[in-house]
Amino acid sequence: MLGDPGFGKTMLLWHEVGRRNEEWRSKIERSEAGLGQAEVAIFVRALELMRWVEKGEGVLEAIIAHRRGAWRLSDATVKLLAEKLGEGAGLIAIDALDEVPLTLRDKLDARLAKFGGAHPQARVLLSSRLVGYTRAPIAIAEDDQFETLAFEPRQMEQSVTKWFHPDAAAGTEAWPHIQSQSDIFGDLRCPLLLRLACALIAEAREKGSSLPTWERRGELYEAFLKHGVKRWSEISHPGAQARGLFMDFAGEVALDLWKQDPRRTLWDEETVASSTDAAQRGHRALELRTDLIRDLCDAGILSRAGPDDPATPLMFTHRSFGEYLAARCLAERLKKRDAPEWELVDEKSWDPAWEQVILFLAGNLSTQSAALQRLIDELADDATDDVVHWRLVLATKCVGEPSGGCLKGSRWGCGDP
Amino acid sequence: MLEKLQQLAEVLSNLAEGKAHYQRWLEVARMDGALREAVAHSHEPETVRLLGSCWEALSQSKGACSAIKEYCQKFHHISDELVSVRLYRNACVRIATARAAVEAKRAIQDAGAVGNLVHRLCEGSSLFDANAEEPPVSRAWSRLDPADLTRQACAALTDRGARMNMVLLWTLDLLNAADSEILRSIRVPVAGCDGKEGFLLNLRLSLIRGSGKELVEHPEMALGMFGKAMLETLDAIWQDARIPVRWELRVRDKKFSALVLDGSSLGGAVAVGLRVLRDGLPYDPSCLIVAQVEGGNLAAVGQEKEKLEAALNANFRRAVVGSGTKIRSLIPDYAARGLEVRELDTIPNAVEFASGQLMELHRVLEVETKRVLDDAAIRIRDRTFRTWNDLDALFVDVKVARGLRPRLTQTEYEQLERQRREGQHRGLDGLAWRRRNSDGDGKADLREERFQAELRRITVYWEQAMRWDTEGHSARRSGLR
Repeated sequence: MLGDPGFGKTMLLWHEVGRRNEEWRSKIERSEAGLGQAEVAIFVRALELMRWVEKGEGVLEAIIAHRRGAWRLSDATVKLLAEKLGEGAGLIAIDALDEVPLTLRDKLDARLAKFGGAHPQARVLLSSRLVGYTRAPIAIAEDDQFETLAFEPRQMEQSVTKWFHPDAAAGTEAWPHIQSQSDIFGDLRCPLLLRLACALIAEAREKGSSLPTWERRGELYEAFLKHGVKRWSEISHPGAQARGLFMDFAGEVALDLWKQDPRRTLWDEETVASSTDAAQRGHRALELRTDLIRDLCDAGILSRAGPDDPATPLMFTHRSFGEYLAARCLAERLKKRDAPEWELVDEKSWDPAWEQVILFLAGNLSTQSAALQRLIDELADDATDDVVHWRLVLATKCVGEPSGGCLKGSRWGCGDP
Repeated sequence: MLEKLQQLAEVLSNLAEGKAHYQRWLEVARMDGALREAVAHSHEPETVRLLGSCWEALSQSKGACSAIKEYCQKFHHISDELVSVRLYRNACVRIATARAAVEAKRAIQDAGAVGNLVHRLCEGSSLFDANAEEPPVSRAWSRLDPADLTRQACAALTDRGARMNMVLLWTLDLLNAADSEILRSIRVPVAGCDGKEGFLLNLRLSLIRGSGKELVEHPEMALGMFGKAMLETLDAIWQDARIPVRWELRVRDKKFSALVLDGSSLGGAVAVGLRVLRDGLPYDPSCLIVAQVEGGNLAAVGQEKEKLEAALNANFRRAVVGSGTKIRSLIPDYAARGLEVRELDTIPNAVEFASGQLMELHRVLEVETKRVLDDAAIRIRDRTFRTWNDLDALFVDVKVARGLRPRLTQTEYEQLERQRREGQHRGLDGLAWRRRNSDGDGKADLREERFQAELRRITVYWEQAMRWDTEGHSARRSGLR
């Protein structure tokens, strides 16, 4: 299962695992399925699996060894379960292969290939971002690889209705409003962005204020993340100044983490603490905050990838939140013509893992047309491109990001964004 | 219009008056269709009259009762009073509950019918014990639908000490509303034997709402023949459990449907099934229990070999035999043939065997679904996901394109080579642009469905793709399977 960020790959995996497990659970309860028929579906993140298999365990053995405690199974049932998963009477859904750092990816791929070879009947559902994907680690037919497509208007309407259910009136009001957002209607075909839009509309309705409008997808992220910060400030009372600076602070943390490794999605507390510590020094209003990691979690920016325990690694609640925040921070720094970050952008523009950051950056430079033009000019420079024009393609994508009209008059402005 | 009901009334009347041959009882035993016809035409006065006539013929003359006895003795060679009394009582309750169902439906338009309903329900329950005092009719009842009205009236009668479980369930069955009274059902396989041939039956035990005062039969088999030993075994084992249960026993192969089921060998399965139901455990339907209950423990039964052969033929994986089994030496042979046979002497051990591992598997399913919900709660902060339905409600079936975006074709590669030799290095852009610009508006997004044909890919809904998986249409390893 391949797709761009926010196109619902994880949702599909959740759906497949949940619906199968619920179906079999119900059949067992109604005595319609016994030990012989019942199947089990398991959801695991690729990064989590990589950590398990790193020490030499096989895929199946590692999954069972790490889940057995929660399952509380007898040896006989463990054996039965291993047989089922190995023989195709079950599903192993492995989410986000792209999140595994390249240095470790080969190892995971080798383990998965070995598992596939040893268990040719096993059912495996893998997901990955499209960017950087070359092949599945398990031998599969070309057309058994799927790419999630953008929502059609009918699906968008369905999604909005479902989001507001059971408040049918809210759904009825929200859908025409979303349809009227002509500048970003195309972007809202991405399920994640549509969901963020619904959440912001719901908030506005709750407050009795007018429904929000957006010109570019970055505005949606900005509004949604600010909504999270507001919720955090209502719980934590950090003071107006700290609240006002919190997004900038989060952006610095994100950029620092991205610079360390843009493919990484899970960070141990120590690494994040070091980034927050560095960012805190630049924000005096936040100096009195004693647990900024907790603050980032409470604002919905970071999450623990498991139980709320210091040993559980941290991740951005959505990977794209981290990408947006890093881009937001970069945009701020690129206000200076001689900022060293221009070099960083130049260097990272070759890296598919930075693509989304650079696209968000272009959107965030909407109010700085000189910097925006420079960014696109540099990316589109034929002299610095290669034969497949990777940077030119990126530049073309960047043109579509900023608000309408901000490139008007430049060589990239076409009058109609 | 009321053809079946008229026929039933006529047969019952003739049996009551001694004018019909006892074998015509077989027509009465198939009364279900006539009763459903009556409920469907509840608004017609003729329905009420015909049902009243059926009730009178059955309950107010000894003729019908004698015909049943004669039928049992001469047709099935069974002279046990328990068997004929059961048939007679069940026939009366079926007619009483049909009359109640008709009145419940009539009560929507005729407030007077509520009183009739209470009266009919009382008549039904009086067949189990002394007449309960009729409760006063509440005004609020007239606003209820037929099923709720029946429930309220039965609740009022239960409060006055009447045994109403069977009457309520059978009335609701005719109103197509019995399912709401079922809390949980399990299917327990049972083996029987006809001469040298073993066969399998399904015993469905359903935990019902209400008190544990009654063991309720399913109305559709209320007039079926069961022998005394089997009925006594069922009752004795149920007496130990005393939970409100409805039971239903059907042969799997119609070839055996004319047999009168009898004997105590289903005792082990009933005892295990009732415990499983009581304790909220799952029952593995591929586990057969071939044992009877003696002194509270499992004991061997006759014709074990034939019964286990039937289990093997039906692809059963596990079976329990009682203590003292005669097939002990054959257990390894059965294992080699794929049937794990275990000799067990206690009911708790059999419960563990029939549901223990399945319970563990059930737990794995719960834990894994919970894990998905926890993961979703982390990602979707503004929602709570207590149950799977909370998350599933947000799911919208997406469309997916099969296959990767295609690489360039050989011709396209050759074209590029030619262009490069001529000093044109933007050939690739041109190719990509042509692919992305088919409708000339320059706004192509390769994630849109309309461009997939150009990319030589088919698109399907995800659910459709996964349905292929369930139906096993895909021979390849993939997300599809």
